[in-house]
This record gives sequence, structure tokens and C-alpha cells, in this order.
Amino acid sequence: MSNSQISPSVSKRKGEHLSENKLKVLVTIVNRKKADYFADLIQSFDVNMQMLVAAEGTMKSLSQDRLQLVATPKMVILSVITGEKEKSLLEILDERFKTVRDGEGISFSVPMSSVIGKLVYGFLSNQEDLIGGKKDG
Amino acid sequence: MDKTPYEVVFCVVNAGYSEQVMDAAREAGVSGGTVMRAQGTANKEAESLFNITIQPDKEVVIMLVSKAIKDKVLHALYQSVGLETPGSGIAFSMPVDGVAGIGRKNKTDKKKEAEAPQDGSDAKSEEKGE
Repeated sequence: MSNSQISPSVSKRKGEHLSENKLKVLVTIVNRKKADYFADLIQSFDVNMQMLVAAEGTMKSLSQDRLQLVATPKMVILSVITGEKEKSLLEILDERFKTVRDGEGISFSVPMSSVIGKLVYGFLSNQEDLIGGKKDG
Repeated sequence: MDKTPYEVVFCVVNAGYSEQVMDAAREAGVSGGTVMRAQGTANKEAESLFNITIQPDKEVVIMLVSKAIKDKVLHALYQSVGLETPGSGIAFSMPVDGVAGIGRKNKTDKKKEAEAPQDGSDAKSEEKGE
């Protein structure tokens, strides 16, 4: 299969298909009550797959209704993003962490080393031409 | 994007040992972490062969740490909650490409927070009963 038959964004080298646009896992940790807001914000950057995991912060704070120390409820949002969107997404997240009330959080990206399957890659990187969508038709 | 001076450390321990993880990490210079509950999947054959029981309830502690102290943190975790301790923990680090949200809010940010419309996010959270 030639390069052009695969996709302009996927090249073949040494018997492997290597993408020029690498996928990364974006880990975003925010207060639980703001999880939907940040998940929607990330999704607006053409992110097709997200996973939300309930977690707790390790900094204890005084409970409002009881005089005891409680763990802060957090949500870990795992999103698969493309390298080209990473910079703009992190910039907007950084700005929102500072400006949204109770929106403090951190976000970081971890590079993915490989993905198996053209369809899976197309889905994760939101490239319809790779999954035989509108652009091919 | 330029490589950042951070790495993410994951520490998987038996349930109930996350505080011990954080105590060790704090001594090595980590300021905070996030704890997720998880379930381990032990090999049943290995369990019966070695006549041991692997506790399935786990806690995963995620910490974003400076590269400069990463080795110190991993060493501290190995010593205090490693496989030869009751915590039976494993710790590993992964590279991080980009980071957002590091650094505290300054006065300008707080002013922006007060002025900025909250994009309906407050109302949205309330609607969902959170």
C-alpha cells in the first residue's frame, strides 16, 4: 500500500506506518463539580474519546458542615488529543484554571508511543478520511 | 512543544496506603497528589500456586513532580511502600510533554476571576445536581 493510499497524514517507513500527527493522552485533574465544564471545553477541540475517573485530592480541608478534615473531591479527565491541538488546548486550560471560580486544576500531556488500527487512529485523531467518512466519499 | 521540566509519577498501592505514599512523597519534596480507587487483577493460577492472596482493592496516586526530584521520590516510595512492605506498591514515572495550571493565581488572575463571566458553568453544575 503506498503512502498516498493510506492518508496524507500517515507515512510508511521501514515497514511501519508512522503518523506525523502524534496522539497524546491529556490528563486533567479538576474539582469534581467543575468536571463537566472542563470535559466539554476539551471536547470542543475535536476530542472524540474521554474518560472521567472520580478521585480525591491529598490536601485535606475543613468540612463546611462538620468540624473535620475531609479529602477534596476531584475528577481525573483522560482525553486523547492530537499533537497539533496540544499547545492551544493547554493555553486555554491554563487561562481557565486561573479565571473560572473553583476551576483550579492541573493538566499535562503524556505521549502515546503506538496505536494499532487505522480505524482506531482515525477515531482518536478525528480524521474522517481515515475511517472512510465524508472526505473519502 | 518543548519538553517540560516535569514528569508524572504513578504509585499503585494496596487500598489504605495512599497516605503513606503521600507522606513519603512529601518528604522527598512533592507538594500534592491525587488518589484514584482501583481494582487489581491478580493471576488466579499464580495465587494458588504460591498460596498467596493478592488484595484486589488498590489506590493509584498521581503526582506531577519536577524531574530534579523524580529519582528521590521514586526511591522514597520504594523504601516506604515498595513490594516488600504491606503497601505492596509499585511506582513508575512517565515523561510529560506539556503542562497547564502550574503556579498559583496572582492578583491579576483573581481580578479576572471576579470579572469574568463563568460561561454558565456554575449554573450547569447546579443543574446536574453536583
